[in-house]
Amino acid sequence: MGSVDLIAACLDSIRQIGDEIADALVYLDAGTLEAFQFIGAFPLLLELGARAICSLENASPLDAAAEWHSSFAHPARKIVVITSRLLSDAHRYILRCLGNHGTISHCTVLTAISEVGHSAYVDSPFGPDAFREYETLLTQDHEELLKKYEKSDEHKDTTFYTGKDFTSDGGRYSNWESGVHYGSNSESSPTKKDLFADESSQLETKGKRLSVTVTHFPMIFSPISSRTFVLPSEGTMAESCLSNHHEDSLSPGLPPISTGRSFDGDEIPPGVTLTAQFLYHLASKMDLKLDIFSLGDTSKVIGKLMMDMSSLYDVGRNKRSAGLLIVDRTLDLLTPCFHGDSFLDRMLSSLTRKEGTSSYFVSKNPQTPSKHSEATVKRIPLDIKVPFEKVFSKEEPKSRTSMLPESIMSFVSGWNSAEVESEVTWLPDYADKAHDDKLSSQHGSLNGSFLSNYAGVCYLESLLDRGAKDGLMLIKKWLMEALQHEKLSFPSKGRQGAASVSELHSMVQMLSRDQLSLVRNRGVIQLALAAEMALQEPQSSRWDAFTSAERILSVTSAETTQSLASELRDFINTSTSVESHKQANKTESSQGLLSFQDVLLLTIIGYILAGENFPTSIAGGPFSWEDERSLKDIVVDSILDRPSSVKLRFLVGLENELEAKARPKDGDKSNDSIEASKSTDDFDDQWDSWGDDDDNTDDQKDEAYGDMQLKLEVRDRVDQLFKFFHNLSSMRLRNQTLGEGLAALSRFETDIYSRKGLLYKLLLAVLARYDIPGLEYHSSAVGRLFKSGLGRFGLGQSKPSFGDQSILIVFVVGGINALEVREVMKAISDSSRPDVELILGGTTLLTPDDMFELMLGSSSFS
Amino acid sequence: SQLRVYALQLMQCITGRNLKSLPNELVSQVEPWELWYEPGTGSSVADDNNSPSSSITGTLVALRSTQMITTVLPNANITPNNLGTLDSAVSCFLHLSESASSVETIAVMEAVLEEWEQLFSSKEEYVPPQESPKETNDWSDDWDDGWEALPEELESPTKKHGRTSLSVDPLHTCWMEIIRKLVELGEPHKVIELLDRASSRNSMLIEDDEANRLLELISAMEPLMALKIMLLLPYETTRLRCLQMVEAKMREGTVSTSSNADDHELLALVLSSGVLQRIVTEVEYSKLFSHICHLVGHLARSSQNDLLVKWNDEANAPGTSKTNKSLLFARVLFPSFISELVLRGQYLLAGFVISRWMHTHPSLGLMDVAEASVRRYLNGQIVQAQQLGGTDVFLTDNELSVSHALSTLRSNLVSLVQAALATLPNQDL
Repeated sequence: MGSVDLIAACLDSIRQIGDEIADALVYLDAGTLEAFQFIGAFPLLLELGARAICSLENASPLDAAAEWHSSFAHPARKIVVITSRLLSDAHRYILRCLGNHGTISHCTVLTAISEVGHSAYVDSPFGPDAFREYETLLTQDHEELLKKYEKSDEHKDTTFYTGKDFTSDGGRYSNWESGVHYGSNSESSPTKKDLFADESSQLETKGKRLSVTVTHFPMIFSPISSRTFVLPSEGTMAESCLSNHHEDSLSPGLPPISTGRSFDGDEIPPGVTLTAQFLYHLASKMDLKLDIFSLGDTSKVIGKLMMDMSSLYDVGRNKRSAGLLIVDRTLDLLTPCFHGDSFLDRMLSSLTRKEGTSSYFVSKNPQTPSKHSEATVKRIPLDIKVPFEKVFSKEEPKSRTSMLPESIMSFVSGWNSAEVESEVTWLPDYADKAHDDKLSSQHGSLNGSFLSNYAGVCYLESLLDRGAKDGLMLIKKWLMEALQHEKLSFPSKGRQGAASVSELHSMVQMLSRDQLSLVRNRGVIQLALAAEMALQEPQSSRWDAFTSAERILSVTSAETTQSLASELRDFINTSTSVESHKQANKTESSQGLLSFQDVLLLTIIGYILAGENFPTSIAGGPFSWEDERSLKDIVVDSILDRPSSVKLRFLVGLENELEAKARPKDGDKSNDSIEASKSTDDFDDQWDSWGDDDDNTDDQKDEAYGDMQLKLEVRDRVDQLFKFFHNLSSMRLRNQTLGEGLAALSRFETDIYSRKGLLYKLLLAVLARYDIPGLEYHSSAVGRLFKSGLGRFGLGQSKPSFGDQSILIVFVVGGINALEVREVMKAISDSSRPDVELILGGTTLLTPDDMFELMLGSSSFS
Repeated sequence: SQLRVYALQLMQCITGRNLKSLPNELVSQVEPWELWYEPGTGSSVADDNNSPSSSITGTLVALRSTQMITTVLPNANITPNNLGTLDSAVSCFLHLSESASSVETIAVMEAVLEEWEQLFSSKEEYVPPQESPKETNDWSDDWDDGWEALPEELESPTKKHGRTSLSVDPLHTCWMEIIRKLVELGEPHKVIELLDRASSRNSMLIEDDEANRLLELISAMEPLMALKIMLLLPYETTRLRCLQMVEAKMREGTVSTSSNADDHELLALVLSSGVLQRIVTEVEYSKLFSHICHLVGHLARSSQNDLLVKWNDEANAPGTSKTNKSLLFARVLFPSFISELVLRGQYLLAGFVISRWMHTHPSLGLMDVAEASVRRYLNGQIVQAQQLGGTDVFLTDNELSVSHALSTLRSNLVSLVQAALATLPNQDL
């Protein structure tokens, strides 16, 4: 058998549904699109004969008018919907697709969520036979809409397709029922002449019945490379919460702290169930028989669920054996928080990421709220776009490529002119607007998908293993090769090995002068553009500042708690004084690029490091009472000083008061009066000396009382924040066996100044056959049968080892980080078994900013 | 008068030198008199050359012309002497046109001029044989060829296979007068129809100088209308002047676009004349190119709307003129536009336009889909063009004035698409 290739496996899965795709309108939802972007599926869908590849969330009746052959001989008859969500969530969109195209006779729905997954989901209305139930439901709803249309036959003179209906603005379908139109389909009217005689035998009294097929399509995930994958950000699996809200939980998108207590059946979060379903079906699709191991409470539940799904049938087949190790992200929160030397992580953190589709959340039925829907994880999509607008600069006005944005906007204005009812005035001057970055980004057309692997190009795989310096040199090498291939010469000045951003930029400019060359080399060009964004200011300095601060914290964590607390105070103070410094002098320094939110992330890192190095008690946290009080005071003061920059979840509800408090202060500063420098008491004294105006005195007292109340409220919130920090630092103390196991792994730490993550040490340990406390093996049904049977005869059975397999799968519940991927690849090559095939997956791809959002930001518990 | 015309037509048949306008029943019933043909060859040619007015052909043409012109100009009279020389014919025509003040009158004068064309264009054929005795034999061969080709001409009178090279019409001065009249009457569309019909005959109605004067005459009108007229004439310098004029006016913002919303004709002429190649590649014409892109966007959306309505139409009636316009755009104009973009290196623009046309998921980046989309679309056009070998109804029944330009585009489409495909990179990338 060949080696494992996730991208090839995904493409093969699409080929297996080629019969459905041929001549069909293919509708993809946002999560499926992200997954298909990663594998470069667009050319394959065309090759399989897709009539059009459209957006499920923004379906339009005009989609049916698309045809690659321009024969327009017959209307569209088939649609294929591929969704990464529950059928109940996708239903209204599927129904709208059917309503938009009255000529559809067959609808195939492929969903990433299995049938058992649908019935197990708390919010799902379907039972164990979910797919058949949905087929019935969709057919009935379709016929209901058909009847509704037939009742309005008296309006048949009305044109059903006005220009307004064809807008692709999803917001227009907020009242989507009224937006569904049925054309006068001759198939639906048996009394009229039947132009499709060959299908007349299938006609029924009220028209041809819609044929619906629902199938499970498990291979909807996002491979970053052939052996690294994550789940789609806007799919149900990644969006379902991994933790219910309780004292041990940190975020809905992260598993809770492992305490050893088992989950009750009713308490299993939906994300856990769906993850088990996914891993089970992934192994089945890859034709792998799994030996399952887990590390962490949530991972243990997933392993158990997977075992419950297995059957005797699995054992008999000639499947390839693989080891699956499921790990809780919470066991190692430091690695994804660190700004380590991973070039991919750096680029991911610098590129702008769009907001996800929010319409799914709105669609939740408000009449029946449930705790699970409230805790849905909002993950920023990984469909990261690299803008190519830089290539079309005005510096080369004679280049025909520089005219491209203008031409595109002219076409779009013509395309949209049907929506404008009033007479169109002469075209605005696109020449200037075309080069306005803001306007161009609104179009969002001149870009490429950053995390994408298309035919023959494996740049991401190589970059995963590189730090910033090596990555830059590698991109330069690729650009040089591309220039040679295009027969362009580039003067290589300076040292041969050195690589600078301006050098990359010049090479990109040369490759982009011709549009054909630009398209041919788009992979390496967008890597160079992404590298340029990552290494320019202020992203570069911010990253360096983070790296420096984290190194200081790591070194200090080997000393005393007092030193660590002192460093944290300095960081918070630095962020405070830098803002004052900015306002005064408008100068920037390297250290000053960390904002208050950045420093909060550093504080999280500090508490985790303290928990690892100073395991004292649980209740009070790792720091002394005095140190923690001073830390809290600084945090409170920082929040009160700069409320406009604070957008944190634990301050929800206080934004207005904080904003109001900032306004008078700014007024005082603008007045630049001498009173501002005096203390409040002095101000009060002066106020009293103005006479016996009792009303003003009362107002002053009320204002003072309000300020004091706000400060008390902020302090209370900060106390809650520090309780969260205590949780972060107490992880090893909550489970003694697991804590000992994690501590024992420190023997694989080669250098105290270059720390390694948990996965690195874990893999080295298992490949060296060390026994790890807390690592649990989940025996299969047959294994249990054999064990119990053989046990009666007193025969022992040796415990399987994860490291014995030639194929290893590691799945991190909660997500993986690019630095971690690099470390894991290094672990395999460092170990005694470099021939092992390792697949690394996770719920999502995490950057340090993502970690902040999960714990304190928009994706955290409120 | 009727009897006289009939007698002359009968005599024309007997001589064997038939004119296009002879009734078919006469031609089919009357056989040429061979005796007249054989001994009279030399003398007939001599007579025609020396004094065309005395020939039967000249008399017949003059009589028919008078017959037509008196329907709108009762006092007009055209004598065989008027048609004796090119100069006298031009003089006569210009004199008559002084009284022409309506579109109907000009239409009749167009018909008269087409009658005269036979007379003066056939005159050229007789000049070379007089040079040398050897040429006489060639002349005889030509005559035999003409004789054998007679049935073809009768079967399809609009198609003349005799000559393929372009030549200026001898009566270009008269045509210029007609065009000037139409412009003054505010009927530029009829000028377009006239020039398009002429191009189907490989004939140039006016000279280069006259084209320049025409440009000055119509530049005060709508610039885009002027551009359409100039694109129907093959004079490169005049085209360039017109392009520059249109571009300048567009930059000033003085070009009205309300009446150009559904301008299939402009797009067809820009494509068939080859001027798109210049517009795409030269930055000096960026405004005009933007307008073309806007036009393509508008027509693309409109044609898809029309096709969608047609599919859902209850009656499912045969294609109306509107539907035929949409099919024309979708099958001929749009593929031609895309192919030209690809050939001129506007690869990403072609990819973007195709993505919109195919309603590709808006979240897919242009860089990711451009290559596959362009290739898939161009391959699809070749498949479609090869399958539909029959008659294209939408080419003729669409109310457009540039039918010949459209036919040219249609016949060249496959080779154009194949040329564009050849520029794509190897798929192994």
